Order: sequence, then C-alpha cells, then structure tokens
Amino acid sequence: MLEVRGLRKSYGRKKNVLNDVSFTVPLNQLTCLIGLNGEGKSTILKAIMGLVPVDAGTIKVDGKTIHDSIAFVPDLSTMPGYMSVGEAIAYMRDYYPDWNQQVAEELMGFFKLMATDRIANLSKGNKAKVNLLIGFAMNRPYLLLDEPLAGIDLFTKEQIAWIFSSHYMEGKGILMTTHEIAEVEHLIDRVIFLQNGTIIQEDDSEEMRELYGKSVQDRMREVYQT
Amino acid sequence: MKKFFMLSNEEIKRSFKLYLSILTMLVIVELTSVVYQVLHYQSKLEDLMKKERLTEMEAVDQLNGPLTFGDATNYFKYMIAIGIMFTILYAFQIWYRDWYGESKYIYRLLMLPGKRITILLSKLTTVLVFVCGFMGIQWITILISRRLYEWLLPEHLQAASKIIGESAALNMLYTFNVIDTFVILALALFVITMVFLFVLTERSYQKGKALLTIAKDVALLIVPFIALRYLFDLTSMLIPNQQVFVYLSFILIYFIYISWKCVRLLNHKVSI
Amino acid sequence: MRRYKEMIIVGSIAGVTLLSYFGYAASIKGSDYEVESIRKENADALKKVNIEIENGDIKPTRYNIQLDGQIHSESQNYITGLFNSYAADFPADFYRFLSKEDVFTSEMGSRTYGIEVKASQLNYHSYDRSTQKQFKKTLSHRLTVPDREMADIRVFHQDGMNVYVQRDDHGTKEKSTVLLLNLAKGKVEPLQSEQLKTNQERHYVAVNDYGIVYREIAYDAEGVEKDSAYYLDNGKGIKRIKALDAYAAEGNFNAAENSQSLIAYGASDSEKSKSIKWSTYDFKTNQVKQHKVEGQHAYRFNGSYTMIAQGKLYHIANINDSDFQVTVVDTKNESISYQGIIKDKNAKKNRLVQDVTVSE
Repeated sequence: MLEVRGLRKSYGRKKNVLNDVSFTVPLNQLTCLIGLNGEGKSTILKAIMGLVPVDAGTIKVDGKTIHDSIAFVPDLSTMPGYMSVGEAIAYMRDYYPDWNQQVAEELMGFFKLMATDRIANLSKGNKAKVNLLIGFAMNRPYLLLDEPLAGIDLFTKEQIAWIFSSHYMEGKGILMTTHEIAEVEHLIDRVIFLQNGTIIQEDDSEEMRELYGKSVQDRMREVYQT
Repeated sequence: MKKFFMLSNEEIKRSFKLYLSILTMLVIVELTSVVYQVLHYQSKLEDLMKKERLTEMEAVDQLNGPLTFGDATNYFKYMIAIGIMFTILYAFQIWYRDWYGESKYIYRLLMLPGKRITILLSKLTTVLVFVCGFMGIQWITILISRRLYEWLLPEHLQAASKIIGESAALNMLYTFNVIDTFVILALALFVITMVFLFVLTERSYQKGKALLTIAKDVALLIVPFIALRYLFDLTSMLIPNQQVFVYLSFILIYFIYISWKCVRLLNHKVSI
Repeated sequence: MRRYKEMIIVGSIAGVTLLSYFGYAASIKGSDYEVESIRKENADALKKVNIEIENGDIKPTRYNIQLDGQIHSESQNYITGLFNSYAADFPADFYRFLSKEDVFTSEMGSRTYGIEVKASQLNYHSYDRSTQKQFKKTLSHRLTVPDREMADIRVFHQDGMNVYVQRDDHGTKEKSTVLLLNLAKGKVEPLQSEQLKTNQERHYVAVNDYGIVYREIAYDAEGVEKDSAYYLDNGKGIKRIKALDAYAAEGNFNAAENSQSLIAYGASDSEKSKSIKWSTYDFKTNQVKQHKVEGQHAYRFNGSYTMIAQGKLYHIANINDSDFQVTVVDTKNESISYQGIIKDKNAKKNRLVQDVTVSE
C-alpha cells in the first residue's frame, strides 16, 4: 500500500497549494486523482517522487519511507532528444537493476516504435508511449501516471487505454491524474477528488456510482460546479 | 561508482561535439595568429627597408628588436580568456539544459536510484575534465607554435626566450611546477562549485529569496575576508605567514560549506 | 569500453596533453651546485655565510648555499609564494610592533629596526636576521612627537649600544635631526638639528670621534639632482669633504666597521675584471685610498653582488653564464680570506644572487 499522509506545500505567497493531503493507493487497483487545472494534482505526484520538496508530510510504501518501489511517468519527455528509443531503453536498463527488458521489447513492438527512432523526432503521442514503456519496464509495484492521455490522438489513446486493462497491470498499484475521465472510467477502481489543495472525496468508484447514481465524470461535474 | 561513470559519460557525450569544436577552433585561431604575427613582422621589416632604405639590422632596430615569441603569441591571452568564459558559461549550462532543454532530463536525473550527490559529482567532473583538456591542448599548441615560429622566422630575427615566451597569461598558467597546475585546477574547482551553488539555489527558491540567498552566500565569502584583513591590520596579532594560513583555512572551510550546501539543496530543496 | 567512449576520448586528450606538460616540466633540470674552495677560511666562518640564488627562468627555484658546501634548494610555487613575505621570519611580537601605525621602520644590513616615539618615551625594537636575536628598549626623551605622515625616522649607524638615527620632519620647514639612542643608558640625545632649504636633502652616514658625517644633495626646480657632497660637522663647524667630491654623486660611502673611516665598494673599469675594488676615506689623513685585490677568475661586473659587513667585503659575481665566484675580502688587511667557486654542474643560465646573509 502506498500511503500519503499530511502533505503540505506552499509556494511563497501562494499558500496551501497542498493542504494536509492524505490518501492511499492499494496494489492491484487503479486510483484516479481528479481535479481542475492548477488544483495540485501533478504537484502531488512530483512530491511523492521527491521532485518537489514539501513543507510537511510522509510518503510510505508498506510502512517504509522509500521511493524505490515507485515509477513515475510524467506528462513530458524526460529522455535527452539526441537518444534513440533503443539508447533510452539501454540507458534505463543500466541504471535500474529490476529493469524488465522483455516488457520493454514487447511494448516497443506493441507501440510500433523503432529502436533507431530519435526521441527528438518523435511525435507527442510517441513520446508518451516511450514514457509509458519506460514506466512499465521499470518493473516497480507502484506506478504514477501524470496525464498519460493528454494531447494525443485517438488511436494512441486507445493503445494506452488497452495497456491499462492488460496483464501489464497485474500486481501494480496505479495512481493516475487525467482529464480524460470518459476514456478510462471503466478502468478506475478508486477516485480521489482534489480541490484547492485539499482532498474533498475519496471513494471506491463503484460505490460512488451506486451512491450518487452517476458516472464518475458526472459526479466530477457536480463536485466542481458547486 | 558505476552510476558516476555512466552519468559523467552522459554529460560529456552531450557536449562532446561542442567541446571538440571549441578546442579545434581555439587551436586553429592560435596557430593562425602565430603565422600572421610572423608574416606581418617580416612584411613590416621589408616595407621599412624599402621605404627608408635601411639595412635589415637598422630596420629591426626600428621595430624595437627581433620578434619575440611573446609577440608571436600575443593573441593567445584572448583565446585563454574565451576558454575561461566558455567554462564558466558551461558550468551554468550543464544544469540549465536539464531544466530548459528540449526534454526535461532533470526529472530522469533526480529520479535515478542511488545518491543525488553522484549527479553533482558527474557534472563537476565533466567541467573539470574540460578545463584539463583546455590546459593540455593549450600546452601542445604552444609547442607547435614554437616550432612554427622557429621554422617561419629566420634565426637572426628571433629573440631568445624560454619555451613559453614572455606572455604574462602563459607564464601564469605554465610555471613548470606541477603544484601550480593543481593550484589552478583547485581554483577552477572553487569557481565551478560557486556557479553550481548559484544554479542550485536559483532552482530551489522563488526568485526573490533565491537572490537573497545567493547574496548571503557571496557575503559569507567576502565579509569575513575583509573582516580578517581589517583585524590583522588593526591588531597585527599574527605574522604574515600565519595570516596567509588563516586566509587559506577560511577558503577551505568556505569551499566545504558551499559543497555541503550544493549537496543539501540537491537532496532536499531543488524543485523541478 | 564503448559505453564510455566519449569520456575516454576527452579524458585521454586531457590526460595525455597534461602528462606531456608534466613530463616536460620534470625533464627541466635545475641547477646542481657545488662549492669549490680555492682559498679557505676556518670552517665556522664559512658556515656563517649564506648566499641565496634564484633562477629567473622557468621552474622558479631558490638555492641557499653556504660556503661550507651545504646547499638547500626549494622550488617556488604559488603556495610558497604566499608565504614569502619580507616579514616571514620575524618573531610575532616584533612583527606586531612594526605593524603599529606610528612605528618607523628601517633596515641596515641584516637588522631591521622599529622606532616608536611617544610623549616622553621612545620604544626601540630591533631584530637581526642573521643571529635571530631581538633587542627591545624603552628610552626617555624630550622630543616632539613626530607626525607619522610628515616625518621619517631611520637608523643610519650603530656602534655597539649606540644607535644613530636620522629624523626628518617635512612640513612648512624641512628639518633634519641626528639622534643618539643610548641603549645602555636608556636615553635619547639630540646631536644635531638643521633646518634645510627646499630642494635640499640630507643623508647621515656616520658618527665618530671626528664628528657627524652626512651627504647633502641639492635638486633643481624640476627635481633633478644638481649637486651633492659629503660634509663633516665636528661640532665647531661644517667642512665639505672635498676628497669625496668625486664619489658624492654615487653616494656609496658608509661607516666602516671601526667607525673611524668610511668605506665604499668600487665599480669596475670594464665589463670583465679580476680586480675587486673598494675605497676608504680616512678622516685623519683626509684622503681617499683605493684598494683592490685580484681574484682567481675574471668576473662579469653586471649582476655582481657586493656587501660590506663586519669589516669584510663579500663579493659574488658570475665568471661565466652559470658559475659564480665568491670572494671574501678582509678590508683591514687588504687580503682575500676566502675565495671559492659556486659551480653549477648543469650549467644553467639566468641565475641571480638575491641575498647574502652573514651570521655573527
């Protein structure tokens, strides 16, 4: 279980960007962190990965303060543009002892990426695929995905959405932020609503649908319009 | 250790072409300048001899004597200045390119397993290796220039001098005492670490606070130095050798402080 | 290896080129000195003479050569350069005294003097580099306290416990005073005080049974020296020492060891010579006498180093591009008490004598 407790963050005059944020991400479930733009969703993911310092709070995996169990797939390209896809994979393989080369090659084939393709020359969608490929091949139990479906074509979205229902998700706890709720509604196990840096609702998605008689997307509209 | 070598190689790889281009350019410009200076001198000599109907000896006298190797390598100081400028700019760029490059490589770096100090050390090593390369190539260029000078200029038009000539810049860099080379590299290390501190501070705080923090760190270097100077002048409680020892110790302590601060910022404060 | 290709290439460029530089530096041979004595004095006397030679070439090195053959070399680098202040060997309390704002500092031979004039009290502190001994004394006086900006105080002569000091006060009126610091009695005695004209300068040279000897220089409106002469003030009157007129412009005469005569080392007639010359002025006979001794080898006048101390004349000069001839002349007997060659087995050029110290 990935546990986030009491996260607080302020930026200068911008106080309480994150205000005592606490939630859990269980294994074998896809948890979706929902909020409008600027609510702090990406900040939470980055804080979990230690990319952004926080003023207070703890992040634990199975009771231990450790980041080695978490992989992060950001919403932008993080590999140097001069690298080819093959070189990027080799780079990651060198640094991560648990790297799963088989998964990397399978996903490279699935996404129709060539090892010789230079990352700088890839489209936004293909760069997103490379990010995802790296995230899964890192072979870590927890995976954080920041807007994996943002700004890409329908076909690529479908490919990525397929991954979320495939065997690649087995044994993983996923925390995802996305605005494309409709695309992944059927996959979401848990929902967390974030507003003004505070968690306003955290529920099992099925229970939420039963309770409110609405889809998660409709419930979201309701929450953010009031 | 493996991570350190891999990261260092990656950093060097990213600037490999740029570095080799600049090295090549500096060598070409310097060698060309030597040829130019020699030919220009000879041409001035010939002009004088023709126009004023002087003997070669008289013309040489008018030109204030034979062409010294220092004169032939007069443009080297500008190339050295360019090399220093490049190094300082590169010390900034080696960090900022990870934040502002075409990809956000800084995400990848900060998430790599192991200690973040390796990132710092790999970048520091890269810049220092480049500095060593500059110094080494400059030395080889001096040797080649010497050969060029001796080959192009007739012996009687050459002024006797030591191998590096009279140039102040070259004499400062090449004293033929190995300890001095390490002193220069230590100075380079200090300056590069300061630049790294400025970058990491800027990347850790909001603009205003970042500026204040940088100002504070600079003041921490300058103010105690001035205070010590004032104290020594006022009280003369230490003899000059002891004063030098205190100054050097202070610089060492300050260096340890800025190194520690770089590591601390990288571990706990830096934000993407 | 392929994985680290770029690092290996750049590292090799840096490594190979720098190693080439280090290799070249290591191949530069310094001087390898040995002392070859031609005429010897007693061993103890030889130990007392230390000659400091520096190379003005690449790979700066300092050589300390004692005439008994002991040689120490120290390569100079940026670090050693930081520790090479003139006050490096001073004891801490002496340095502290000299550093005070109102202390006047002067040097004579191997001695450095510090004099602080306060109301009714004069603090005197000296340090001898050759013996590494200090001397401190507080003396009483009735002088005016000098303005540090407008006055100069220097020691010009010492005869045992009597220290003779020149004090110049520059103000609306120029005044030059000779003071005797009687270290034994702890008193300051003014011996002479003279108001000078503008464009006039005075250098006191010696005090002896005959009187006070000084050299006076007159400048024209542009500050160019137009006249100089030695004078003797015997308390009854001032007499120009005409016998020294020919030497006044150079101003080389100083008190001899016995204080009863003046001595100056002489110039050579030619670029190369075997003769080592000096002159003395005898107050009794009022005559200048030329002296010379002939050394073993002809030496080059340019770059030669001469020092007179404890009644001896120390002369070091190049006999060729790399070797030095050292001659110690007993000026009383007009004889050479020591002569030797500092020979460089590696025959390096561009070596300079920086300093000669003679311990007591």
